[in-house]
Amino acid sequence: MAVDNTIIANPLKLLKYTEVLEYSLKGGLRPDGRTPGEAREAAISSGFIGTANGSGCMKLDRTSAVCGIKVELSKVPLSYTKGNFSCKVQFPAVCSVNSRKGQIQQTDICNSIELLISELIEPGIINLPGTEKPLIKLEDLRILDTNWVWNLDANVLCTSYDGNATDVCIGAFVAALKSLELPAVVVNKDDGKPLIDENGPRTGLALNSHPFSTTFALYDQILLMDPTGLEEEALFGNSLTIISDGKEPIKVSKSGGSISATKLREAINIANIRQATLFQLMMDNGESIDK
Amino acid sequence: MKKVYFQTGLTGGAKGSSYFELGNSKVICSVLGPHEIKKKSEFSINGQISCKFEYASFSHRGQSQDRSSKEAEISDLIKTALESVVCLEMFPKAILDINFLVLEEDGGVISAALNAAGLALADASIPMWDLITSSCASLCDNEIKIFPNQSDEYCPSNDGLDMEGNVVLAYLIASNQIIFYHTDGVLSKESLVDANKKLIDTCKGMQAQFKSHLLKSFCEKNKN
Repeated sequence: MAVDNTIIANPLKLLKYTEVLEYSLKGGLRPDGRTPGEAREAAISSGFIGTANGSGCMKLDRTSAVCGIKVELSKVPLSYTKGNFSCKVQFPAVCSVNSRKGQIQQTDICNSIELLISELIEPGIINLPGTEKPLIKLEDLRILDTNWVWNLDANVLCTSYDGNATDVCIGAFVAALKSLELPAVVVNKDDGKPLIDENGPRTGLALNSHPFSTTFALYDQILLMDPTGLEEEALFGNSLTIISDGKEPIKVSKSGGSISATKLREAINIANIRQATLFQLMMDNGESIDK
Repeated sequence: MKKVYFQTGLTGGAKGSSYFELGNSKVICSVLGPHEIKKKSEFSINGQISCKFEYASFSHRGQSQDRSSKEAEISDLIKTALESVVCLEMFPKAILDINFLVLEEDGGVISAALNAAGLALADASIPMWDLITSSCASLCDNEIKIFPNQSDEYCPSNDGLDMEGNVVLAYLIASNQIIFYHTDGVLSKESLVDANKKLIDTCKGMQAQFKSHLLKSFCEKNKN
């Protein structure tokens, strides 16, 4: 039977939450009533913020994030073929915590998600370049035959936090990219200055894939999918994040602890299936939203 | 009149939260606390309120600007309004954090924030004197528009002689008091009196919706 996390968690916070987990997992369930392989109910929507060129939102029960992408023109030398991309992940004041320890944790979470997103757009920027295909082609951001490019400025705000910020932030980011529309630009032939034509046709960006991430917390070789805040805090440092494009993992990020090869393969399979579910959810919702 | 949509109780960590949509303007409000003030020197026999108002970077049209001074000004305005309605003497030596995030700005943002604050404080069960409702209007082309768009809020007239300005008002229904009143622009006495009457009527209209929603969510919370 599902146990309401808020009512029972407070007195049990005095005990170690790992003991609560252990006791509960003996019966095959986690303290909030889910099985280890079950994620919270997800909701994704995109294109709802009129002032942003692209917007996306993802919610996993009480964890949610909103991503807004704005574009700006900038002048570059003719030899430059790519647009620019910058991403910032933040916990705004509505979601911040009071304790110093909590704030440091939030900064760490933001940094790690920023790195993951940067790697999606420009693979190889942190690690050695491999054969991964980037999510979007930065060359698409160039306005043809001119030396103006679009700068994408993505801002992911985690508006509510109860564990697993990575999945919601990356999900919101992908939903925002999907809804991104670049306005039409008319370049003045005389002085070469571009003018944004608000009423002109807008173009979207071609996405190579729609990656979604799946995060697990590891407790004693058991994979706990989509950890809540209490689980994440108790199993701090023992987490596994897999970003999958549906067919294979794009990125596997493992922090601390150890995991067997079979468990890892199992996790990758779960992540691939999850990507398909979330992708379908995003496409279903996208059609019913009026911009 | 613009469409209004609101929800409460969405956030994980906060004690109370609300989401308020006024037409296209979208504001999230979260209430944390009351919790103790860390520095002993700031102890006070009455509770304190700390208010932080933020715009998301993608919340406005056009180029990015540094709006930190505007954010600070609005934080201060909203703080003084809320100080008059929250029963601060019920939590001495403690501080209440009320935070706002504007996701999209299209007119009436301060009014939406005050409404969201009222709902979030009620959701957090913070003792208050009354329920806060707020509305705003702009006088543009000799016409009073309730809940204006952003383009209506700043509409300089062609000959510079017409009156134009904005009014924001927050109203307590049961006590029939105004806790927040802010105007800018040039407004004649007649148009101000007229605007006030319309604004208070709008607030009274919203009150019934707020009350029924809060009652429903309170019953749901206590069913378990």
